Amino acid sequence: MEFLIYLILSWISITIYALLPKKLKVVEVIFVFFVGSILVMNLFTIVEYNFELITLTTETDKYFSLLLYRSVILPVVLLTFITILQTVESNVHKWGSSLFLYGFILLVEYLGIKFAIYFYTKWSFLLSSIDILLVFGLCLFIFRLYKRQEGK
Amino acid sequence: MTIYDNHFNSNEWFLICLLIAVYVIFFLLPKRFPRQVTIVFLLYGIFVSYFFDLTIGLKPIDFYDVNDTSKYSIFDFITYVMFAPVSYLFFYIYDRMKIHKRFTPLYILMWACVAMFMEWVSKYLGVYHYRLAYEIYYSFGIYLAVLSVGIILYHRIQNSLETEKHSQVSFKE
Repeated sequence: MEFLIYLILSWISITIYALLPKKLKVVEVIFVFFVGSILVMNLFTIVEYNFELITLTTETDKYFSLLLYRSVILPVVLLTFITILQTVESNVHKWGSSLFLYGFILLVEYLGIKFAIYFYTKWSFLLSSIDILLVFGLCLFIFRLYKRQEGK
Repeated sequence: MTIYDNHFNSNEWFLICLLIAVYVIFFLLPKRFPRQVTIVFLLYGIFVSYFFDLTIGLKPIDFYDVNDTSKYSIFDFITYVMFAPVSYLFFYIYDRMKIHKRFTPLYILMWACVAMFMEWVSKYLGVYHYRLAYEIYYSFGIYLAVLSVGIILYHRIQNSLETEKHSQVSFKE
């Protein structure tokens, strides 16, 4: 059941991205996906395995739901976020879309706890929210640096 | 947490020497791609190594551990960063030699064999520690998949660059 819900959430995140009217260049799309994934994987590993602030499920099907969250939902949402910031002119649209995407990720995070895919041991939902916000900011910062390399 | 060893020994020296060697090769190679493409080719190696090591190398799957402990350490990070110039070299040679589609599978096979040899050396020197029923030959399938996806990625990027170039020319006209 959890896996099905995460599959649907992955489908929703990919569909939202696919429906965006303007896209980044192919190399930029790949770059954001790679950077987003590497950031998220690092973060998950450090928080879970090194500091043991979060305990992961030992059930394989729930683990695959986590993999969908880590390797599909979060990187695709980050890609959508960067694409909107780069291609949309209106500030209202930019802020509105960013808040929606942030809310979407927080919902997925909440579901992770609800479905016992992971448990907070010395961690909290607030810390996760700050953490995700930092990943969004860091990804945007790295993308802006990358964008400066255009034409070189 | 599993601890395999506590000393600065063969696996660390091997990684440092390899890291220096691959980055020296990378910086000595003449520039071939636009900088944005170079960065993506470098990132491909890092992404793939992170993806597999932090997917099948962690609990509950946990097929193997990297370096001295089962935890994520600085030398694990060095291992992943080391893959960046290696993946760049894979794309560089493919592009430089203008390998025909017919010979692409052979090129992938050749790289998969080199990767298997390097993994065998790494395992021998204590970089990788297999757990459960994992055997080195399982990695061969992963290498074939990863290298094939790399070639698809290469062609996708090349096509987009071509399209971009043509659209710029027609815009000027």
